[in-house]
This record gives sequence, structure tokens and C-alpha cells, in this order.
Amino acid sequence: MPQRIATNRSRTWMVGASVAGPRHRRTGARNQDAWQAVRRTHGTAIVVADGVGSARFAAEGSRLACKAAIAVFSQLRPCVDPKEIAHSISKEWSEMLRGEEPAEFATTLLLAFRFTTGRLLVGGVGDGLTTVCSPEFPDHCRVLVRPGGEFGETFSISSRTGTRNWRIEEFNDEACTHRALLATDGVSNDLLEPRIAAMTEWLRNRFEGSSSRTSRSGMRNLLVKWPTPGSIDDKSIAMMWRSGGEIS
Amino acid sequence: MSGLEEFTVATPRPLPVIILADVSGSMSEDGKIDALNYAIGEMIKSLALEAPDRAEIQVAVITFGGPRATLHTPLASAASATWTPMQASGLTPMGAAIEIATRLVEDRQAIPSRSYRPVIVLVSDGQPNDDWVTPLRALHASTRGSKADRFALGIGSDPGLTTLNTFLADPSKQVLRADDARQMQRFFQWVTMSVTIRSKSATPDSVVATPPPDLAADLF
Repeated sequence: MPQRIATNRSRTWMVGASVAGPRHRRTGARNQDAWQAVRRTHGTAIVVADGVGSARFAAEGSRLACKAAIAVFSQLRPCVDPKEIAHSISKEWSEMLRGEEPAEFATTLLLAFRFTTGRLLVGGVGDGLTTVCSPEFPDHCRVLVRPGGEFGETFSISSRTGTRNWRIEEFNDEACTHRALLATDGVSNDLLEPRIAAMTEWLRNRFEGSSSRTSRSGMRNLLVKWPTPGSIDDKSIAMMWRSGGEIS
Repeated sequence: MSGLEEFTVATPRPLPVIILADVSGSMSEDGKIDALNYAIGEMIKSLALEAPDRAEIQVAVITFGGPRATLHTPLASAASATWTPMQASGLTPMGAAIEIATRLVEDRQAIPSRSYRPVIVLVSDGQPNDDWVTPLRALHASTRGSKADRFALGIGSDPGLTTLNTFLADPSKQVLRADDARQMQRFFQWVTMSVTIRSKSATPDSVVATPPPDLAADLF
């Protein structure tokens, strides 16, 4: 069976955007979602976060969560135990609050960390979508399930339950076939689940080869012109994939 | 057209309203079933007029009377729902109706995860004849049923208030009572208003505490 093998010409692509939804745009309120991507020598990471609407400083909370996740990723060893990641990010985020009440900064956090070894970790806490698509999977898509997340209720990074509601799964992507997609609920609520794999392929074709600036601006436009009627929430999406593998 | 249309849902998020209506034999007395038919019909008409800008309001009606409970009006958008008047006869199998409601609320095909918090309305004029405690416990224990926004109306002089209060299971809410057609209609107008306020709200999942109407005021 043909296999894709990473070569020196392989490259990891990351694209994402975050926009305030019509509800917040109308009132001039800040986007309560956030996203970040980073490239380090040991790998690449994308994160998205959705500040809990009832939290007073939700916008700040989601930005700090992304910052905390990226800070943790920057220090990680490729062989890290996934359970350590939840603890480390929660701790980093709490320290960034400098003694403020965590519930007032409550936020979801979804992440995808890819190490140069081909190890891929995907998961997080709270609602929204974490999915990995690959031709290796049945239906080409694995949607990762986390607790909670219906009727406006979600677990968050500030939950008193600690890291019990985090889920992080591990994949081997040495063959460079996996696409990790993260989305806050403003996006995931409107996605047709059977079409997610096709959508990741569509996004890859659209943005692979583009500069970071072009990709971000293009993704942002997609979110601003979101097609589902009545979609009022803030929206964030991020996708990471590796290209340049050769078939052998 | 951005191209994303191929991968996204083309309708707003649903806001389901499930009505459990007593159609036992006693409802055929004093024109109660006619009044209930009119009130529910008017409610569906009003909900159908709401523009689906933010949420698509959906309606289902489960009836209980005679030997069984029945999904009288399957869950569909209020704008497309076909309302057929109900007939009253027989006993009051409320427990069976609650079982159907629980199954419907937990059915992720019928009510997908993107739906807003559902509304369940229970209307009855008497004591149930079947086991209602077990199905009601199951509703309250179910992940989604426990989160549903619940309303209850007791019709006539002996509407089984204990059952209706147990259904609400919320000390901040009260069972309303209606003795005539106008009061029934006012109850359903109140439910309609609560639903439409939510459907237009910036946070439709949040339950809006709209003050209940003073139905007794209509007596004077």
C-alpha cells in the first residue's frame, strides 16, 4: 500500500482567524474568541478559545488561554504525557490572572500540537470542534468528543473540576496525512458533520502555498461572510496540516 | 457565495417547543378540548409568523388520552407545521406522554446539538391514570430533559397540581390554572411570548423569566 513519507521539502501549514459575531459587532463589544498559531523548532501549534459569555472578562480570558497554551507548547518535550499538558496550561493560565477570580475569565480552550517527530496531540476543554481528518480513518474524519457543550452550557478552563473535563488524544502522523481542525461553537454549531473532511480538503486547497497574511485575511473573510442565517456568535477556526510528503 | 455553503447548515439553529396535551375524556366537557385546540392553533400561527432570523422555532404536540399517548404533531418548524385539531376520549396516560417527550428531547437526529434549549409545556385537567412518577424522574434525570424550560397549565377544578408541580421541579415557577377558553388562550400567549423573546434574544439559550399572566384577573 502506498505511503506518504515526510521529506526535507515537507512543511507544516497553519491557518486561522477569529472574528466578533454580529451580536458583538452591533454593540461594539470585543470578540470573546481568540486564536493563535506558533512555529517552534520542535513543532507547531494552533489553539482557539471561546470566552464564556457569562464571564465578565471572557475576552481577556480567551486571549490569556491561547497565550498560556502557546507558552506551554514552547517548553514541551515531544514525548510529553498528554495529561501533563492540561495541568501545565491550567497552571500557566491561572498564574497569568495574577490573583484575579478565574470564573470571571472562564473560557474554553482547544489545541492541536504537532511535533517534528510526527506526534500529533489534539483536544482541549469545553465545547466547539476538535477533529482530525485523514484518508487513514473510516469516513476520513475523527471528531473528538469532550464532555458537556449543549444549550449554552460548557466546561471551561476555570472549572472547579480541575482538568477532569479535558480530553487530549494522540495521533501518529509520520506519514503527514492528518489535518487538525479546531473551531469554537460559533463555527462548529453550523457545520455539517459528514462534510467536515471535505471542508478541510477545501481549506487546504484554498490556503496551501499562500503567505500567512493572505491566509489569515482569506480565512477572516470566510468567517465574516458566514453563510448560515441567524449565526450570531463570535467565530474562530484554525487548521494545521503538513504537506510535501511523497508517495512511495 | 464564499464556497462554505457546501459545508454548513442552511437554516438557523432550532428552538424546539414540545406541548404535552391532555385529551382524556374529561377534556370533552365544558368545551375544554375546543378551547385547547384553538389556543394551541393560535400559538402555532403566531410562532409561524416570527421571522427565522436568529432561531427557527419548531413545534411538536404529544397528546395523551384513551389507551395511549401519541405524537400528534411531529416536530417541524412552526411555519411548516400542519395543525389538526385533537379529539378527547378515555383515560389520562400522562406517563406515556412524558416518555415520548423524553425520547424526543434526547433524540439527536430530531433535536441536534446545535439546537437551543427546548421548551416543554404540560397541559392537563386531571390525575394521570398510569405511572407518571418513573417517566418524570427519567425526564428530570436525562441530560437534555433536565435543561428544558418547562411550563405547566392546570385546567378546570381538579387538574392534579401535585403532578404538574413535580413536572416543573422549579420553585421559581408556578403552575398556572385556567377555567375557561380565554384563560387557556392567555396561557399559550404567554408561552408564545416567552419563546419569541428568547428566539430574538442575543443569547437564546438563556431562559427569560417573563412574568406569568394573572389568569384569574380574566374572571372579573
